[in-house]
Amino acid sequence: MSESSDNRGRSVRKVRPFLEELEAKPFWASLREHKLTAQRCKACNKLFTFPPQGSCPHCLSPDYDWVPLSGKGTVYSFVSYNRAWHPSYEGKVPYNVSLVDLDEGPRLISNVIDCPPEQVKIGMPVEVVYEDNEDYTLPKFRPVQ
Amino acid sequence: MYEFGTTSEDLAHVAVATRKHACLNADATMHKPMTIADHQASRYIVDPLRLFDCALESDGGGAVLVTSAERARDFPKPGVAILGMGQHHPHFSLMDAPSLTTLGGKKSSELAYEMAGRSPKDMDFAEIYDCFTITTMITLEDYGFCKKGEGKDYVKNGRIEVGGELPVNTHGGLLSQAHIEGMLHVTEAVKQLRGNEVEPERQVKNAKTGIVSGHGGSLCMHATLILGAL
Repeated sequence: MSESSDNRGRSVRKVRPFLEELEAKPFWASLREHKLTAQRCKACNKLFTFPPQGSCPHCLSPDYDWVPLSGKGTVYSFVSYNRAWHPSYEGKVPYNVSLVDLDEGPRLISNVIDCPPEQVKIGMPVEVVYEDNEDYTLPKFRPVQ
Repeated sequence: MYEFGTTSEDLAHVAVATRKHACLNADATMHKPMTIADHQASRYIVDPLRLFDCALESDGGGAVLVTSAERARDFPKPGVAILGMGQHHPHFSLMDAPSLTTLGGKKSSELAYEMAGRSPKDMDFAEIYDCFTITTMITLEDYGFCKKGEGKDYVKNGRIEVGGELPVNTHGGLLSQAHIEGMLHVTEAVKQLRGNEVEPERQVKNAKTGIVSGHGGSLCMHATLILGAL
């Protein structure tokens, strides 16, 4: 668990994803290799929605495999955080939080980065970029160049 | 806001009307009157939501006693009837929400209206779970008080104030009374229907039927109550 500091210089614990969650383990492992993946149902062939889960949200089958995604998508909706959700984010405000519709269908909550928050627009084409942290990698998005 | 052109100033009308009711409620946290300009001058918390679009954080409690109509008649205070109820939980995560502008309140209220044999026009008031101003607006649309996208105009010109067509959050809501997880929306509806239990200035005249919403999760859980005076 790494340390970070808030805007008063106090040491705060950094938040991190629940890497230990059983269904999500392959998702985080692939991200470590800079691959964005989703679960695909073996019964109905549809992609699962996020977050990773134990059975198909469409037909409830527990039979699935993992498939790679292109990492391309568009911004469905977004907000701009002027107040940090967690003290360890205080140095980052204002920051964007977006719902990204991936080209293959599933929707992911992430940040659009490499772009001032006020320039993020609904419908904007974005692509995944991988943010490596000490023991996990986050999928973030940037405007398509 | 993207779909229907709703603005921050439209949301302000919800905050201002709710504050007006809180100012009339001795049990409310916020007693300072608010203007549209005050709302517009408040800082962004998560753009497009400003400070005055957000609920308070509160400690407190509320309770109701649920019993049979027969036993309720023996109590010293008049009872209130549960005429209808409904709930709908359309998704698990924000990432699989079928819509961000129509929430569980649509189906939930339809179930409650059907059980009660009532329709939106029969409601004398509404106590709407108002974690944010936009939630009030979306729920009023989902509950059929106006069409989808028309909430931004519906909430203006005193319509949702006591004395208006549909008084909303007559206690001051989560926005200006206290955030007790929506419990006070239920107790406020009961008080309104009993009569003589709230300040006369915020008593809805001839209140016979009211609707209450509860909302939670990442926009994913919704419950509706329709209550009637006995």
